[in-house]
Amino acid sequence: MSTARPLSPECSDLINRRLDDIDRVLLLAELPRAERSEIVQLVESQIYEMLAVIPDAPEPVDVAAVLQKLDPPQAYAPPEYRARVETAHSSLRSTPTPAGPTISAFSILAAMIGGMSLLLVASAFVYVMLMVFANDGDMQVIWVLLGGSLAFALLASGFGAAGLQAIRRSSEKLTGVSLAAIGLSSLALSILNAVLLLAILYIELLALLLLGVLAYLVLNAGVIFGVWRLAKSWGQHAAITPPNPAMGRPQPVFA
Amino acid sequence: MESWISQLRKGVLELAVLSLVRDHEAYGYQIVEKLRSLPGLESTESTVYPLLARLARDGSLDVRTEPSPAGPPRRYFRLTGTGRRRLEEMARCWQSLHGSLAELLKGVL
Repeated sequence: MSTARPLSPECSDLINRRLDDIDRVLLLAELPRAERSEIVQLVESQIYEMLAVIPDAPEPVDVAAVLQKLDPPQAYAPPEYRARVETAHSSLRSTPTPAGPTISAFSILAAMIGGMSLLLVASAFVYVMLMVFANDGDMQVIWVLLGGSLAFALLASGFGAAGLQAIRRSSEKLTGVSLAAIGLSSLALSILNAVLLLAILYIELLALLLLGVLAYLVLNAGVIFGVWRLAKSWGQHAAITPPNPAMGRPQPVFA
Repeated sequence: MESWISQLRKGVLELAVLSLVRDHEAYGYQIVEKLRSLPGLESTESTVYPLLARLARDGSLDVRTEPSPAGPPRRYFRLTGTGRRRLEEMARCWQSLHGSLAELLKGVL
């Protein structure tokens, strides 16, 4: 039984990438599978032997230093295949590194417009508080603020739904579930906040106003959190369902 | 000159590897390290491992795995009957070549 120290995923990843590179070179050199597997296993074994002399658990920097001491993957190509391997290697280098997932534009719009909707409803709350304390104010201002909030919330919900749909269909190329959730939740929040605000306004009790502000904060946080959880689980479900089973991760040949 | 030395070293590497595992089995990294310590035969893993894999494929070497305290199992190589016959043939050829060249090189150095 092996008593080897377990390596961190980062260290294992570095080693696996080097072994994959060597295997690709050997494949280009048309070596039979059994020989490729033998060579890759020997290199893997050597890497671990070299790491074993490090007193503490190896860090990625230690693994990189060991890999630096080894021959580069291209060195495994027999002379008659060097040109082919070099061509393949340079074309690989010139291929741009695939970028990470980008944030869906719909999600960004949803969050921005949803934020504006919440800002308008919060402004209405502040205005109502001023009205109650000053015993003066224009009711039309509140209607404009609440109407604006509702209109923005409608737009934000539409963009939020479009954002989630785009993320789900993008096969992990798009992200921004949280932003979409803000947009999606803004319609419900706008309506609930408007109802709460109007209730406070018509009852006109200071204690109820303060209670209403507290309820406003709890309600907003609760709804955003709930929608975020729902949207996240929906997004994760999409992520674990690959669009094409044939596109799974390639299995290492040296396993 | 460098190219000639490299070609000569590669040419005799098979003979050196077969000789190394003639009496005792050895694992890949051990063979690389041993060769590295022999002046004139210094070779790296990208030369030695493909050779070991080829010799194993053509039946000159046998492979046995054993758990290693360092990590993945070590792959021990040892000479087979076919490998031993090949080694003897190569050794005879080398002796003949060496004798002839020694004769020719008399007085050069």
